[in-house]
Formats: sequence, structure tokens, C-alpha cells
Amino acid sequence: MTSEDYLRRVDAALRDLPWRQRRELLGELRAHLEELPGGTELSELGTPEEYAADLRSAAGLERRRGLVAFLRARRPRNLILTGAVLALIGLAIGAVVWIDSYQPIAFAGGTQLPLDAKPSLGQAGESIVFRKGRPFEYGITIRNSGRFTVRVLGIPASNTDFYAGRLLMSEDQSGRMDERPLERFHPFDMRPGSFRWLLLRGGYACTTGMGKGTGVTWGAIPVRFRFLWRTGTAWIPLEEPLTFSFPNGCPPATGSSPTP
Amino acid sequence: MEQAQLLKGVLELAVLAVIARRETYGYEILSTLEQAGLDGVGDASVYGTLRRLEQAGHLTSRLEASDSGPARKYYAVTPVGREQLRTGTEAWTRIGDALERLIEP
Repeated sequence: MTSEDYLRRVDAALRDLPWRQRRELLGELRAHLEELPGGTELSELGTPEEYAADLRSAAGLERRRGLVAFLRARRPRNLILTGAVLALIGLAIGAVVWIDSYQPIAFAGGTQLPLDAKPSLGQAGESIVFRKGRPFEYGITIRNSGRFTVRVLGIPASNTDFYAGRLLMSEDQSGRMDERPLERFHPFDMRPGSFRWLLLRGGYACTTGMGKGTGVTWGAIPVRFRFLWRTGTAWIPLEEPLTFSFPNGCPPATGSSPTP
Repeated sequence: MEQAQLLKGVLELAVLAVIARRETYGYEILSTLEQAGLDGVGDASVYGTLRRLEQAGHLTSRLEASDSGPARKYYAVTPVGREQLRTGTEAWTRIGDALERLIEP
């Protein structure tokens, strides 16, 4: 066994002691081992475990247990490094969770109802009668209520049943509620505090089959957006729910693709 | 009874006595004890005793660079240590005298 092996085993046997105290004891032992006359066998000192036990007994060093002892036995530099790494991991996890839940797009107060919409009888919102192929136009204003820019990707077609056509958007991002120049939708970066009209312009379509005399209500419009690496959907609650009624039913169409 | 067991009780006094002669370091203390006939004391026991005496304020220490290896830790007896040595010596003398009277036929 080499001196280093001996020191390592004594160190292991004193592992519960505070790091500074252990370092002092091992420093003294190292100096002692180097002063031993040439040819001295380390076994004359006893096994490293016996040496550690004698040292502990003579110095009155009790065995320490518990979390505090565990922490004090660690090298302070390593403790700080471990703490810093754990803090960084915690921050990273927190950041990922926050980014994953970040949803700043909100309804901005403006709604453009279909021309044939009428107040619903006996319930909140507006109602329209589904007439396949007839013009349909519906719009809302959205606002970025957060502190960071997000990229708006559109309204998923799968969530806008009974409509086929284009998705349009206002050209400017001011908070004006009046009619504004429109352009075909394309993904855009939405700065904090900015507004946009999103307008569905096309016609009624049987994207999903409905029976005669049934009805369905849009309560929220989904807006897809991207923030950093995450793509999410913001469900924008409508100021007034929009109820479609189907007096004549609606057989499902095939291959319709209404909006981006 | 083995000498090592007997020595454990008086090792503190022996170590204080060695250091009281002059400032010295661990290996030299061990050698002095061995030369005096106390060769059953383990190295670890001496270093542990030195640590306990220093913690109790009976010894002070300082590091001094050595030509032959790592820095040596030199120990000196404090006034509290000298008082401890005096009372310990008195106690040991009383015990020794008592034992002598008991052992003698």
C-alpha cells in the first residue's frame, strides 16, 4: 500500500468530519508519513481504519450524522458549485415551465359578426342559420397583452367548422377598432401591446356533418402562436358566443381546407 | 494489563511534559516518548491527543517550512497548559505513591 492509498483510506474512515478538520488531520498525517524513516512499513501504524479510529478516540472526535454533518463534510467549493448547478437547473426548469405556459394573446374587444347574425333567443350571444355556400364573415381583434413578442401562425382550419375560405388580417397593428385595410393572412411577429384584426371571409361549408334541427356554438377561437421554440394555441374567448343552427342539416364535405 | 492501555490515561500528561521542555513537532514528540520508554503509544493516539490539547487551549501551534518535506507544525504549551501539566503531575505523583504503597509487600 502506498502513502496515498493509506491517506485515502484514512480520509474515507473520517468522512463524517467537517472538511476543514479532515484536511488538517490528513495534512498532519501526510507530513508524518513523509518524516518516517526510510524502510518503515505503513502497517506499523496499523490499518488506515485503525489509525482513523485511534485518532478519533484520542482527539475526542465523535462520529457525526445527519444532514448538517453531511454538508459540512463536503468541500465548501464543491458545495458552492453543486448549489450553483442546482440553482441553474432549477432556473432552467422554471424557465422551460414558464415558456411552456406563456400565453399573451388576448381578445381585444372588437368583433365583426356575420351580417345575418341575430341575438340568440333565451341565451347569450348571437345566432346564425347555416346556409351552405352563402357568404360568411367573422372577425375578432386580438392583442399581445404580454411583455414579449410572439409569432402568430394563424387559426387552425380543424377548429373552424362550418366555414371555408380565407383568413385575413389587418395590415396595421394599431388599436383602432374601425374598418382597416386587410391583407391575406401570413404569420407575423406580434409586439407587446400591438393589435390585429383576424377575419374569416368565405362561405358556410359542411366541414363536419350535422343533423337537421341541431346547433353548435363557437365559444372561443383558437389562435396558433410560437414563442421561442414552443408552438401553442391561445383560445380567445368570444365576447359573445356564436351559435350555428342547422334547420336543414349539413352532410360532411370531403377535402375542405378553409384556413391556414 | 498492557502498557498501551495504561498509557492512554496519562498520554496527555506525557505529551504536555515533552512540549513543556521546548517547542517541538509531532514526529519529534513521538520519538521522545519512545526514547523515554513509552513505545506502546500509537502514532494516531499522539496526534489525536495533540489535537485535543490544542482545542482545549493547552497548546498553541505554528507551521514552519521544513527542508526535508512538508511544513512542520510546531507546538508550544500555553499558560493554561502549564497549569494543567502542574496539576496533572501532582495527581500522577499521588497515584504513583499510592500504587507503590499498595504493590510493595
